[in-house]
Amino acid sequence: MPTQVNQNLMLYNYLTSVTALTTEVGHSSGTPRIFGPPLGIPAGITAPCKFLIFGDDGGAASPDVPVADVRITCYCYGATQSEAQSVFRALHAALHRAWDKRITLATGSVAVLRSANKETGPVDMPEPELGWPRVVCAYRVRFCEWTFAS
Amino acid sequence: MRVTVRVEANIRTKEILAAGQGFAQDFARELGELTARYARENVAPGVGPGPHPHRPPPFREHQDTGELQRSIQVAQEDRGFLKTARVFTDLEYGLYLEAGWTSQAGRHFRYPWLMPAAMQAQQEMAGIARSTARRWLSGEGRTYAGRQNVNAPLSGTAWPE
Repeated sequence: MPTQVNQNLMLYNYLTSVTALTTEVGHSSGTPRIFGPPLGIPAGITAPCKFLIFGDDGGAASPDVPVADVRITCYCYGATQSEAQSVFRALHAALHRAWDKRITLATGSVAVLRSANKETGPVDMPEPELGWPRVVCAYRVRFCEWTFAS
Repeated sequence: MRVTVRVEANIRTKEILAAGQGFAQDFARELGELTARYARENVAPGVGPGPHPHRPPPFREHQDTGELQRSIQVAQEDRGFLKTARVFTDLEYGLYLEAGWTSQAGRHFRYPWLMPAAMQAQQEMAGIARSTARRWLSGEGRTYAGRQNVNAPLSGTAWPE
């Protein structure tokens, strides 16, 4: 039976395991700064600062190869446009050309990020109503459709 | 030992090269124009996001004029071995509709209109490829494309391999 992993959870677990990225945005369990869906400014953030939100745009399924191919849109925020761009660079270093990354889930099973590439961006797109500095980009990420027992 | 008939397509011949490049550019153009058509449908007045979505009545300063729909363009590019068609708009708010924004009240809005159009056009790729290939690569009515030459008799040669 075809399966589909929770790609948002997998990507979140992977991004929060990259020390350079978590250091750049100041992410910790007590001070989250990396967020998955839903999109929009998270409730605990009330002023421009460094944080990252990603959203799942879906993608076509392969009929023959058990790899899920999805497009992820990422929103990099900062107190200034320059800070937002530095968040993007840290994200890019973590995600672009990532290959064969093993991600351990809470259940103990192992998911596999096969490859990731930047598809578009970065685009300087400040929030038009709030005025918050923001950089938008999209990545094509491929996961194995199922997880493996560790 | 076996008997072989070898069929060769020399892609360096001018005819096949020209026909292949023409096919690729035409194919990209057709897909681009189909994408633009679907994108214009996505943002058509009455279909698209309409007046500023988080401004309830009686606010009417944002009108759906159809300007975004009219601004969608297709341009062809020849980037060497990449035959390309670009579908784009010069209006900045088209980009914000596509990527999303957050309102003062904290609600996030997003109205992807271009990427879904491209994905919808991609589903018709096989049919477009077939019809474009028929125009460029068949021998019907053309004396210079798809020419076949038989340079040796089919019988009589057993070549040890």
